Amino acid sequence: MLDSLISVVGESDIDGALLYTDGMHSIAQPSYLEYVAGVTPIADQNGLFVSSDGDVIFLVDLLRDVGRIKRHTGINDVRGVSSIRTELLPILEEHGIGSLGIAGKDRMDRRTYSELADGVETVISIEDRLFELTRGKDTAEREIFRKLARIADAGFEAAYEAVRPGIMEYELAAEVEQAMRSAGATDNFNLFSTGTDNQLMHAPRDRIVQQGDVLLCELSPMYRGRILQICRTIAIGTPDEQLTAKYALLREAMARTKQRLTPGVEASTIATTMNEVFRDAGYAEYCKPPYMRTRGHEFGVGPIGMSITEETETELQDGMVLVVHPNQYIPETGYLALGDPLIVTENGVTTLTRTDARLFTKEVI
Amino acid sequence: MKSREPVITRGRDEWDQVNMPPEAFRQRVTQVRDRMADVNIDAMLVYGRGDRDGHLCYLTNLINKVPNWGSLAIITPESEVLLYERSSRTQPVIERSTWIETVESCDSIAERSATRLEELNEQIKTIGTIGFDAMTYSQSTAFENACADYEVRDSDAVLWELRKTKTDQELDQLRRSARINTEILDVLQEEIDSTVSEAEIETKADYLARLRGAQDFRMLLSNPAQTESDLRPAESHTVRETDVVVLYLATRFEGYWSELIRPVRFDGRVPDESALAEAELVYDDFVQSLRTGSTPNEVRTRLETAVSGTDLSIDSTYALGNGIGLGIEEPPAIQSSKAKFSNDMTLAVRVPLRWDDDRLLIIGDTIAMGAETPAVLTH
Repeated sequence: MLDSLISVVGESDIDGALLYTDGMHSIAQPSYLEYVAGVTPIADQNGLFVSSDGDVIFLVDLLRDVGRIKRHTGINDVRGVSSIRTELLPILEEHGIGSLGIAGKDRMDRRTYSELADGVETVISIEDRLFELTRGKDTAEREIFRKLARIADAGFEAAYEAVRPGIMEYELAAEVEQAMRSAGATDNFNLFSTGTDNQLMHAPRDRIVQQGDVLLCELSPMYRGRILQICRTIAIGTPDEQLTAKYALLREAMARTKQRLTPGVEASTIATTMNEVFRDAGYAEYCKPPYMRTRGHEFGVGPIGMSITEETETELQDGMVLVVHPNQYIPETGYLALGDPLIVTENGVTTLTRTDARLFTKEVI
Repeated sequence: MKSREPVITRGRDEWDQVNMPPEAFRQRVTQVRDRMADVNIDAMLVYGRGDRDGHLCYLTNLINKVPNWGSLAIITPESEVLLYERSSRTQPVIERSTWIETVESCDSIAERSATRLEELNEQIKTIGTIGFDAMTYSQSTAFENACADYEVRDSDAVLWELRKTKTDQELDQLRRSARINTEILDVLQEEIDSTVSEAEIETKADYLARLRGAQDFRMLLSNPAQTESDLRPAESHTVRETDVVVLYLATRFEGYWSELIRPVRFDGRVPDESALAEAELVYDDFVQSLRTGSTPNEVRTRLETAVSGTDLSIDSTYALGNGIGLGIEEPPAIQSSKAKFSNDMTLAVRVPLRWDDDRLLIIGDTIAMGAETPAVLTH
């Protein structure tokens, strides 16, 4: 990806590029620097500078991290600095940067950005360009997502094995986390909810799982700056007919959606197809906020990119990685969850994970 | 100490108001209002994103679970405390974790806060801001534009002063956080008896922390047999039971952080007896020098004198420590602070040394300053 960035800079209207991060990792914010440089930042200030003639300089405000960054990125010029702002301006001047492309502006504090902007003629966001580079996944990228899928499957398997009446949500999360880390995840954004009338999915808490509960899992492993996601529902004990019947709506929504997806189709098709199933069943009111916001997400530069609604005009293209989730609030049962990660192929979509798309039942003896 | 931050905060007690009793909340708000009156600030805005500094948690008991979502509390002399946050989906759960009665979701916290200040009938001219260093560029720009007519003063020092010493409840929470680190190290030393990978050690340690309800857990290690010797996140490299690694463990429990750093050899043998013996003597003397009323300069000077009589050297890449509590790095910074240590301060202390072939040897603990000797919480 570093070579791709160098190409972007060399071929475009900018004299140099700066990728910046404050070391926070968020499922909802792209991680351009990690994605391009191939190293997980831990310092408060991390900046990767690339000039149009191919000079690459990595600035980090944590001296002890210099060796690790060099080793991971292969970049020779890695500098431990006390302030990226004061170190970067002379670099920009030395390289004659008039037009600076930037990704990660919103991670900067106001003073840093202001002084950078004052030090060059123009600042242009290159976030969209970087995102486009990642859209069609190459072979290596696809292998990373396949690994993430295996991690997600391992996580759900662990959740199914571990859940039982008497376990607390956070204990369950610990079991699942261990399984996912053992499978290779470097971090996990996992949500668990248990109860008989779940109102939303949330980070695990100290509620004790009970017989008759419905467990909602949203498992999102992270690996090398990428994220994938799977959503499932487990009934603790035999589900009643109503739960089974309502969950069938989610399965129908998923199956119907997958059938309609091919390259060239607008992503809105995902939302309109799923909403069609729920509206036909009388749940139109619950297909909009506050009950439902998106029917899926694209995974691009690390975490979540495009969110999928009925207004999303982006066309699917070969190599795109998405999660599609007909997660749905249903008054009679509470929230139910089902979500699969897909990769768009030449002819349609392939589900990356192996976990069955069904309502799971954990019988407890 | 700086380490990889998690993508979500999770733990035993996500929405547990018990972490901060209502009387603690009321007392803290009163203290802030008193400080505001002292310095003629009409409204105090406390921001939190990623919760590195712990200011918002100190005031509201709220920890942003998702790092990029900011929240902001407004305190004025007369009106109730208000809280603005970004995700309407989690508003119900936020309401259950804080004693603040009015919690509102909005897209732009900065703009909504500015609007609310106008709506309040309290003659606001001067605003104090706390935690605004963490504000995203777009939000800080929106705030500056929306509050252009007010005098705005950085007021971080107000909360740092209030947080400098810990209450009995806070000390108890820190002790329990510290105990988790100690237990994890004990288990790792007992159970690891063959070659493992760094990632396996971290997975095990993280699992132990989570089972005990930790909200956050961080591990760094120095494994000079495999890579550069500096402390870094775990990778896939192997650790043999005879290797000497330095393990850094940090746990957050009920909001409170603790750290523990030890050189470890998993076969149970003491890592290089002579160097460690010297380091331990230096370290013990360092900890004993941390007395109420002493200054960081006195402590540093004494450490330098102690080390000069050994075959060790101080690695200045690493600081000697800092305050610890709701933030993993609070004032005072022992390396640079001039203020005296005071009773009931809690510190993450460390002595970073190099020996022999430039190998790293760090010992560190979480301590609570006392009237006489400091109490090591992570023993």
